Amino acid sequence: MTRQIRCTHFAFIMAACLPAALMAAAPKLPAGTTVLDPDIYMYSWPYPRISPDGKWVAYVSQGYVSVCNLAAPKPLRVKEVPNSWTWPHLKAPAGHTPATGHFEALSQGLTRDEYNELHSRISNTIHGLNWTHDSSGFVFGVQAYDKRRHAPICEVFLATIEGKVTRLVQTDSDSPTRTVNSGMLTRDGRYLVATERQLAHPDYRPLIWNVKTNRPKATPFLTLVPSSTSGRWIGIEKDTRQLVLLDEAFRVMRRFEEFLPDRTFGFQLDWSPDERSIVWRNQIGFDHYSNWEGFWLDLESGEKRLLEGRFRDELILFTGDGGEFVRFGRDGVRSKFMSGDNVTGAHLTIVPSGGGRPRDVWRIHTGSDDQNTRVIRNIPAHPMLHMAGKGKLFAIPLATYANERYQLTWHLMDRAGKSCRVPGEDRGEYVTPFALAGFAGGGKLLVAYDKTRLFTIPVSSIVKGENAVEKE
Amino acid sequence: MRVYSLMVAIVLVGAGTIRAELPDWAVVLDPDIVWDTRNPGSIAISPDRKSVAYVSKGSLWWCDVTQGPPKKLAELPNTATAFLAMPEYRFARSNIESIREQLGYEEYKRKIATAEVQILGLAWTREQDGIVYGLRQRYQNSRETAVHRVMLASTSGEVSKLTTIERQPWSRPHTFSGFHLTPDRKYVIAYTGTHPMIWNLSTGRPRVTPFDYLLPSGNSNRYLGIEIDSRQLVIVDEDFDVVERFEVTAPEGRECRLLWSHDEKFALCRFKHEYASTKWDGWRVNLTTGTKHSLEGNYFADTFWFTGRGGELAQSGIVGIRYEAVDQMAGGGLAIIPDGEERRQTLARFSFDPDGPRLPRMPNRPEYPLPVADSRFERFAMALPANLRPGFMYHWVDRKGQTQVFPGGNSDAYIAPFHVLGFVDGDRRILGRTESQLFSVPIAKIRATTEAAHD
Repeated sequence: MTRQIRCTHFAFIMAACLPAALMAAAPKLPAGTTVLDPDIYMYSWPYPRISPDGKWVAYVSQGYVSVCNLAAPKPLRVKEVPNSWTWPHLKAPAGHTPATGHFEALSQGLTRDEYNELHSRISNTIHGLNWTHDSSGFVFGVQAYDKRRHAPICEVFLATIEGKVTRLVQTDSDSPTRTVNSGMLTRDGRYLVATERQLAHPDYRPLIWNVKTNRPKATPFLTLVPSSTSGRWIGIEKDTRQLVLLDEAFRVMRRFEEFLPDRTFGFQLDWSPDERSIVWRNQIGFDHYSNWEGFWLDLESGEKRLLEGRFRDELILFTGDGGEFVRFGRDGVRSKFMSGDNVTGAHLTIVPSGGGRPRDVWRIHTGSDDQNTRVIRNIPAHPMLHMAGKGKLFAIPLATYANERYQLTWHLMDRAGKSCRVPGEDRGEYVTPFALAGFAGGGKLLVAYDKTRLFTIPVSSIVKGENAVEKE
Repeated sequence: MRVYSLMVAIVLVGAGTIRAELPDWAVVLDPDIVWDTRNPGSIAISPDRKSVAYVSKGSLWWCDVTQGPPKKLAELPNTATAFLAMPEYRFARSNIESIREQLGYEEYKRKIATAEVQILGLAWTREQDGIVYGLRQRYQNSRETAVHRVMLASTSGEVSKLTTIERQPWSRPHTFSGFHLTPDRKYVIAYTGTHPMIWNLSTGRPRVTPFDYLLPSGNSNRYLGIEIDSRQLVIVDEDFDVVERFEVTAPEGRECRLLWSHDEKFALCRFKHEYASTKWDGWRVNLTTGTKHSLEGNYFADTFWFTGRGGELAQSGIVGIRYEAVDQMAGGGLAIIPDGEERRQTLARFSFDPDGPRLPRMPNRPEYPLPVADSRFERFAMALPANLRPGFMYHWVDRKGQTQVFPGGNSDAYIAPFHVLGFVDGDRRILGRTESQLFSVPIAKIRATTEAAHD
């Protein structure tokens, strides 16, 4: 009994001291920073998502789906998701909980059986955080798993910024159809549209879910991309494999003379906010598996610009200035020795609308013995670039080798390639000084987070002389 | 054992070469046919049961079921029966596999396989004025483009190509096995098994097909289908728009079979259990009231028909334990499933030891033929085990379960006295075939005799 009490006392003291210790150890944030949530615990995805109007951020922390206003920070926990990755009441073996630290730290030192036991208790996974078009709320899903049937159990919710939660989808493990675990809510609120990664069942086609009937609707499309400015969609029709424009009810409004080839290893369609331009990318070949070819197309005039790229994960973003778009990703050449391409550098390029010549904002070439090669080789394109003000400013991670280690350091870069290092204390992380969720407040703020805090930084406090980096 | 071996030998010979005597009163429609026994779909009786279309000796033929001679509708060069009809290959009669065995693989590949054109489906138009079929070069490798020529041979003798459906090696689906021409002649529905793809004949391109299943009505321009994603049972109009939905959901990933009554008032929806089970469950749906009656069975491969008496069904299928060694059949049965909650009524049933003498292991043993019924499902012609020898004898089976064996019991053929292809000519005749002849026989002239009940 005495030992039990002593242990309890010890645990209590530790519990009381730990937050204080963590706070004390928290790195200093840049000047002008506003802390939105001073006590977060995140684990991988879904990453924080900023509302279309740039005024809110939705995030998952400490087992709760939460939302916070950026101008008047007051974190609102909208739904608790027990037994999810960050749930503080999750009982780990040896008395640990996520509340006492990083989940990976919890699992360190555990035996395989203990780790499996811990893992088996994490039965719910949170998906989504997809904002509605009017920024009034966001969609998220909770997916559980029926071990006996080897099938998912899904619930999808709509949370308003006021904290009201409405269930949109509820499916059991014996669902006879494909199901969704999150998705985009249509403007009329009637349908939830799940694309490739928002499906509970693996399938290559998107799925439209009728919210009222809680059943899927026939979705004869291979790809669906929502407009950011209206309720329309653009997609590739099943069977015909034709590029089609759809109205809010998913009726074909217009057909284009573009057809997706049968031979494809992956496909991506990007649509400009003015709904006039697309970028069509088709991954080709197996032995050079990540190359793609495609085109930019003006849907009105039919003007076309052929494109090609070395790596499928290259990020393409329409800037919002007509058909102008940016390309961000790695460069490469065919390897003589392996199936795939060797990385030779990276680029951030602006491609003007029409036939204008592309212009590099930033480009780096690496040699095989270059220290930067290793870093750039591992750059995932998405979500490692953020854009503000119709492509006037970018948040871009630049590879550096410092203090005998490789790292990616966030910079803000304008269209001329002038950059400023995002200030902050280097805590020895690979991505430094902290993680960025994106621009907000009309491009005047950056939303960022580290291991314990969610915060905003004024862009003006970064873009100034002391942070400027001279061009090489 | 010696006696049994001798019996098997006789049957083997009978299955291959002996020209069986035709029954009395038989009207020979084609005295010299060459079948492709691998392709049971190479013969099609017209919906009104007054004509028959079939493939023989490298041609497509059409014939009135009451009298010959047949009329050649189309040449089908380089098809299986064209090779089988060549003098040097006549030894193989109806089985091209015999040529392969005789020539050896390389020689067979050089002389036949590389040149062979396969016939895909043979389906009457709904107006019964022609036959739709597909032609495709035999598969040589997995990287080739599948070129399907979809043809229409009219009974007046004109042959036209409806469309050519080319599918690249990466296309899904890649190949098709059957074709349905819509009554408005605007579309061909190409099937991979039961999975449809609607092909627009005017554009020569596919049309979006939001269905996993599409079963044409024999009575109207409508279809019974399973919609993609919702997996809902639906009725579709001639423009392929959903006009009616039912509270039946086909489970995703489970094989499905639909059956639609001729009057379009009932549907049978069967869903196969997951591999490796052969079982199924499903519904008989009254499409007028929406009421459902659950059904289940042991063998998804069983065949069903609506009898035309409300939702009553006839079922033919496997009885007993399924054996892998001998065409997966240990026995067969014929039953009536009444419309309602009444118990099913077995009309005929047999089973035997797959290792016993009654079901010999023999190369190229003819497949057990499906029973056929008259148009009112009053009477069936069904092959039941022959007494005292391997093989089967055809019997009449009535709705009371009484059986009468066909005359011709002396025939040594494995299926004796001949294959019954169907009731024709207003149920006044049956269409039959031997290894080399196609004929029809007035039913009234078949003097069947009562035989002891089968086990």
